[in-house]
Amino acid sequence: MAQELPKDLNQVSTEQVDCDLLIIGGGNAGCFSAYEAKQADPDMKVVIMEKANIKRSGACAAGMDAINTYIPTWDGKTPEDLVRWSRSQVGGGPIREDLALSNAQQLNQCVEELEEWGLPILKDEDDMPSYRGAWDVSIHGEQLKPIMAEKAMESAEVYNRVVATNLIMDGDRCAGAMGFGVRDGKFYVFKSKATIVSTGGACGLYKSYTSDGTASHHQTWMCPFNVGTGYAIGIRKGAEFTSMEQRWCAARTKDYSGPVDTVSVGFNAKMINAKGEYFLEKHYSHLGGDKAPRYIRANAPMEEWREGRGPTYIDTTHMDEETCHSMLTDYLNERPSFVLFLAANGHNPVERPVEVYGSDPYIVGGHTGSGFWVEMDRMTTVPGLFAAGETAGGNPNKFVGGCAAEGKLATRGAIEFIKQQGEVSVSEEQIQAEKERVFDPLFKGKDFDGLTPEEVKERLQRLMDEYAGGTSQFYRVNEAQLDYALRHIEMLKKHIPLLKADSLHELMHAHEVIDRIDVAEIVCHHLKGRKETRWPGFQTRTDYPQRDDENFNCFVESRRNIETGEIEVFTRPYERIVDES
Amino acid sequence: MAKQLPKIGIVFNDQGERLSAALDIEKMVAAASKNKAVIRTDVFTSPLVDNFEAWIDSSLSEHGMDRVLFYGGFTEQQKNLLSRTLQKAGINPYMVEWFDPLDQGLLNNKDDQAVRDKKALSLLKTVLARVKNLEPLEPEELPANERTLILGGGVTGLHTAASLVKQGKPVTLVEKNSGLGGKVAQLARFYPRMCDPHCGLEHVLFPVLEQELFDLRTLAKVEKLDGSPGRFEATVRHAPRYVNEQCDGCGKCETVCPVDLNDLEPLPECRLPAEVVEKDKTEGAEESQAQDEHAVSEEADASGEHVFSYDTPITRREPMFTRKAIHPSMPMPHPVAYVIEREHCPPQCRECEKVCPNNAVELDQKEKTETVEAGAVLLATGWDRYRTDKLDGYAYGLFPGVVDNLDMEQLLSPDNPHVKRLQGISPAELTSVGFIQCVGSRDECNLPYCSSVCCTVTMKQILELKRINPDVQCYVFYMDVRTSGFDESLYRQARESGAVFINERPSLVRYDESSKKLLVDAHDQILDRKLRAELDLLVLAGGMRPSDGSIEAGKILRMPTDKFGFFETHKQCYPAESQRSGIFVGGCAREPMNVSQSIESGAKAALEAQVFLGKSIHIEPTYPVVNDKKCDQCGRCVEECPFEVLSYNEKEIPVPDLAKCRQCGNCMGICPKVAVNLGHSNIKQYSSQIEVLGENTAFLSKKEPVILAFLCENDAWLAAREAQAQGLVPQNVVAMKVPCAGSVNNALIADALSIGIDGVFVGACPEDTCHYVKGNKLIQKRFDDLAEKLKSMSMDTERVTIAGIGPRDAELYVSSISECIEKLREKGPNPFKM
Amino acid sequence: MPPRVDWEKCDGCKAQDEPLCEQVCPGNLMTLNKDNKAYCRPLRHCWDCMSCTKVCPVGAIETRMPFQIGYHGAKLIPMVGTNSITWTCEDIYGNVKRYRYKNRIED
Repeated sequence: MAQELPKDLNQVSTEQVDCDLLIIGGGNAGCFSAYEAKQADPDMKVVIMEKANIKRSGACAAGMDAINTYIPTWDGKTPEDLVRWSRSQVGGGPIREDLALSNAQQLNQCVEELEEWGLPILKDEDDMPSYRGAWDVSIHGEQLKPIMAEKAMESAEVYNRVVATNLIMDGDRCAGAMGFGVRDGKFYVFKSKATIVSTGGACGLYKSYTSDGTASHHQTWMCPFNVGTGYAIGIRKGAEFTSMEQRWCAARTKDYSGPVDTVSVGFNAKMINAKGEYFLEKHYSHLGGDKAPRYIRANAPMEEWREGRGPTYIDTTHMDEETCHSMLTDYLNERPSFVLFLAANGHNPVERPVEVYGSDPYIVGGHTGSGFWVEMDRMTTVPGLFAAGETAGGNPNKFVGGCAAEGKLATRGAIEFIKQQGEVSVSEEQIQAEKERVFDPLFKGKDFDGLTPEEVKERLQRLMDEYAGGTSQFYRVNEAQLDYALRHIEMLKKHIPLLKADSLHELMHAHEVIDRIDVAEIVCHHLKGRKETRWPGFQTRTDYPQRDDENFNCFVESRRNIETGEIEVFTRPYERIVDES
Repeated sequence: MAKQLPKIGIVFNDQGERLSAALDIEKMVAAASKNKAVIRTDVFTSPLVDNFEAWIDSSLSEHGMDRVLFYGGFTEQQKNLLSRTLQKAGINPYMVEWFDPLDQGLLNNKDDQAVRDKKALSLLKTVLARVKNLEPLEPEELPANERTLILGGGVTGLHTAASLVKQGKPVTLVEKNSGLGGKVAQLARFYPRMCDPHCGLEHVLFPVLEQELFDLRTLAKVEKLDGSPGRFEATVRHAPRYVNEQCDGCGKCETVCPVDLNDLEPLPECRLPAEVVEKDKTEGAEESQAQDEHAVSEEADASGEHVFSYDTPITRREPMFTRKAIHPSMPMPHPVAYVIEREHCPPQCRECEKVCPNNAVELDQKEKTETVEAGAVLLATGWDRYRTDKLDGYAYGLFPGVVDNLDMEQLLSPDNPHVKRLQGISPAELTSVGFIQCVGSRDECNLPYCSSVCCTVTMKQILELKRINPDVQCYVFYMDVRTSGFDESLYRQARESGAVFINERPSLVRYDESSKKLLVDAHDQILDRKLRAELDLLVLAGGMRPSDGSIEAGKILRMPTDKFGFFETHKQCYPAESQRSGIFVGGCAREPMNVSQSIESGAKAALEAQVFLGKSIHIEPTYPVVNDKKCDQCGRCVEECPFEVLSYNEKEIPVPDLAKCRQCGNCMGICPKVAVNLGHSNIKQYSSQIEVLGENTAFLSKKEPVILAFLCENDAWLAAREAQAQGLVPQNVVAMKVPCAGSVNNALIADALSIGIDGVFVGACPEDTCHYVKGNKLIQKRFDDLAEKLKSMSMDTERVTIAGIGPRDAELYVSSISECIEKLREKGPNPFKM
Repeated sequence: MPPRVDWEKCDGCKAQDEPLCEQVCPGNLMTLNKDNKAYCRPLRHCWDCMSCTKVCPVGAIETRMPFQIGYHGAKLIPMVGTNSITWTCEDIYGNVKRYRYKNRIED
């Protein structure tokens, strides 16, 4: 429990842990990374650095109702088919087809392992997995996280309640990470021969439209405790990032901001506006209507509102009570409080349709392709640093199965790397410098006239919402807005030294906002860099409203120049590997 | 990884057509045979024993059977024989299940056969779910240690030590005083034969004193006890005697010692440092010092129970005896070496050292500690007097001639060259002596209990007085004379000797300055007359309370005690066992008793202790195991274990001490993460049964509720069985046996309710009779929390009931459970029956 | 508002190192006050994952919707079994619905 806070840096003890493989973030990908490491080499020393408690940390905290990527090979579907589908979900590309294919080939084993470990996968009358969409199997995943966590705990040494703050380097090579204990107040140094960063995505870059409420600041679809630390620690060491403009803006239940695919995909509920028009069918039948790619499904309701035809809904009134009960059971597995939300509004979905709206934008490499640029072995452009899950980019539509698969692939890549590259060493100066940086907000003193992390976060969130295409702007941006945003992000960065924290918990918030600022910065650069509108909703450029295949059928990349601090933006070509079937 | 399907062999015991007369066995055999895990099903009509081996052989060789379900009634002897036969053939005894349809009402022919047949099929599926989840378990053998550590060298400790040594078992006896004998050595005589107690004590002591197996530690105390049964490790502190073994008791030193001490100075004993004793978790322990002197102080301990404290300042009466600062061991001169009460030595005085012919005096001796390893511990730390000076009216210490019954023993004791009489109270010169019985006893404001020996002691003292001076007039003021058993003859002799018995307990004593007599007024209830006795000596017959040594040992060893400080045992069934495995209790440390009872209780303790004193300790594998992946170190199991058996290992996961563990399963019941499993009664074995039962409740009509009854195997299960034998239990009930009501985890109750079982009944031991101290209280608390949750879920709280059912309370069981059934009929089916 | 702790029932998990709710919260939000009673700091940061509500051994925690998005009086009560969980939901009009499903398959 609460100990005495240290009064100065000398009272902060440093704990150094040496290991072979460090996994930052014990989530879906992280747990599978650990498990794979143990299977491959039981003698390897594997450490997981986890900000919360691995048993319920991260986006899977409440559970999951479906695994959205599991290939029904018994029906003749192939990994290539999955890649094609994924590609179509982002309007035909660009995606890293090499990553997508290798991931798709690894998928099924992960799902089958989860079942072996105790995860109930719903079966149909023939005892085959019950599909609710092309690739989506229904599960009762309320225990998904504990099940994965138990395997991770058997496979690695888990350091719970340790916040990662920066990588530690051996020259250009990533040699592990540093951070602090949010319970014990220690400074931690994890020295490792290879590192997998799997901290999930970034939530809370943008203001959500319910965030001003007294008790509803974190009413987001995505886990608000995933703030993009994994991206930030890579940004700060000059790692290359891909597709950060491909923000995940999704159609979500209004106000509660909960999942909608559960309903619309699983239960055939079509989107409908206040005039009773099935607007997806009406305007986007050429793209699949209600089965249109997700950016269409996110943007469409926003357009309806903007045009004055809101509110917008998914029409659940065709369901009978039994089907509705099934649907709500699904919700209880993933976001149980959604059932409470409906109850708190006296809302029976059979009687009234469920209202939808777009969510605030998130950066999640497991849903879209935004994240670290990685090679086939999942190594980023920083040697020794591997990425998996939402943190890794280039391969959208991974979801639970794909993040698990990528965890394994990253471990295999890391093991190879360790075999070839061997030991690392780290300098005292780096450790000391980071220790000072980390604890600085804690030692400001009672009378320090500074800023709380909360107010800095709120400033960033409104900035991004209004100038970088948040919900208040119906996701739209133009160059002038983005420049404005970048200018103010620059100001925010200068204010970081004014951050103060009164507790270790607040210190964690301080570092969360520092990380979010770094991520927000490159998001703005990416949005600037893609001068077209390829995925309206994910990124809508009012100054470049058309798609420009000639110039932008490619990846937009960025990298921070460590010397100057400037963000360099460039492109990489899109390689097609899988043909159209 | 592919798991092997269990291979179950089912044996139906239809001896005497007991089964086929009540149930459709063929249907059951057919249903069982359809189950993929069942490899054979056989009905035996003749006693199984005759052709059973053949059955086993063919089951093993032809079918690869790995577990057996016995269906039917078996005596314990039959069960043992069958189980042993199976074990010889290679079937682990924990892979054998016994299902008696009687326990579930299936043989109750007056109930509808169709219902019973359906229920029998449901329950067969249910028990097969358990059988599928059986695991072969192997017992553990833990190291034992043949040595017994005995605390207390009084009559109990000495006799027990002697018994053990005679059987070839090593003993370490730790006595806080300089010499052995305890209270009995301070008596003048002991009854009924009126012998000299020193004779009796020496008689038992001498044969063992010089034996190798007997280690004597005097002026010593146990200050720490680590380890567990079979491997206790005690830290024993030795106070310095200042005299070594060269001393032969010649007594020259006494003649030159300049210091005289009177009997109000307590005898020398080993004292422990305050910090060793004060890590007591009782709150308010310091406050007791400031309490009113004349009241018995009681504070609430951490559980809210009142705890007696006997720390009050000593009232100074006139001293009666004197001794030198250097003297023989006391109360009996064993060991032979003298002892010096060093704190009374004048500075620089070394007279004794100069004069000792054997160089036995060591004035600079220091304290030391020693580690003793033992398999078992006996607490024989005895009693101390209850302070009669607390009762103002009796003027103890105020008027000369008022003494208590222990003082009286010393007055009546023969003269002793080392302990000189001071006052002019010579028993031969007394003309009138009064005895007031029950002083401070049977008294709500003092000790509410009876100390059982004080009446006989008074008779003994009267007879001794009469022997010394036949003309002495004795008066006994009594409420009741409790000379039980053959002690009655002492009472008769006392009466026949001329003692007068007055039926009242007076509360006031006065002193006449002129006559120098004590005046006691009383109103005899029988004669209805006022009387006044004028006395030379008044003896207040006070009671026994746990000794300071017992209370201190209790704190150090963290022993559960009753509110008076006596060590808790299960008096009628296991009087020698404390609530801590391996630690036994004998003598007055347990409760007031006489000498022969003390000796017997010590012997019982020695016998019970043998379990831990052999080559190894056998542990059945039905102990709890904690899943370290699920455990979140909330500490509830560690805190609530009735026997304090769990502690954290280096990974901070609770682990039971197998030698201490009583395998009650309360840890399994209390764990909020369902992380603890008891061997052979694990969570899966229950939850799988509940799941199958929940899917098979259609043996009754839809309106009829089905109740799952968890019945504690010690009490409620026996009552239920009796009720079933009499055919009194409705068919709505399905019973499951549990090791203790406290072992039922709320998650299992949640399972039952959520799968649609209409109600859950838990049969626990009634009130304070829980076999595991507080299992029933622990589940009651969880029950209350669950009932509140059910309320918030708009579920009827009547769906869960807990009742205290004693082993023969068949009627109470029937009425309680029938009441539940009736309530549930009113409330309707479980809303979770979906 | 998100987790609401009944301080009559809360026993601070007997004030061990970390009460179960503090251990499980993915946002590090649950902790004990100076009277050893659990609370969420601050309420507005809760994500309603309901891990605390499910884990409390004495049932002292209830999750509620923030009034910003849901009205007062609705309840969602989880009851955790060994390998299944039930949820009882009562809406603001008093309608009660019950859900049950298995969340672990044990072989």
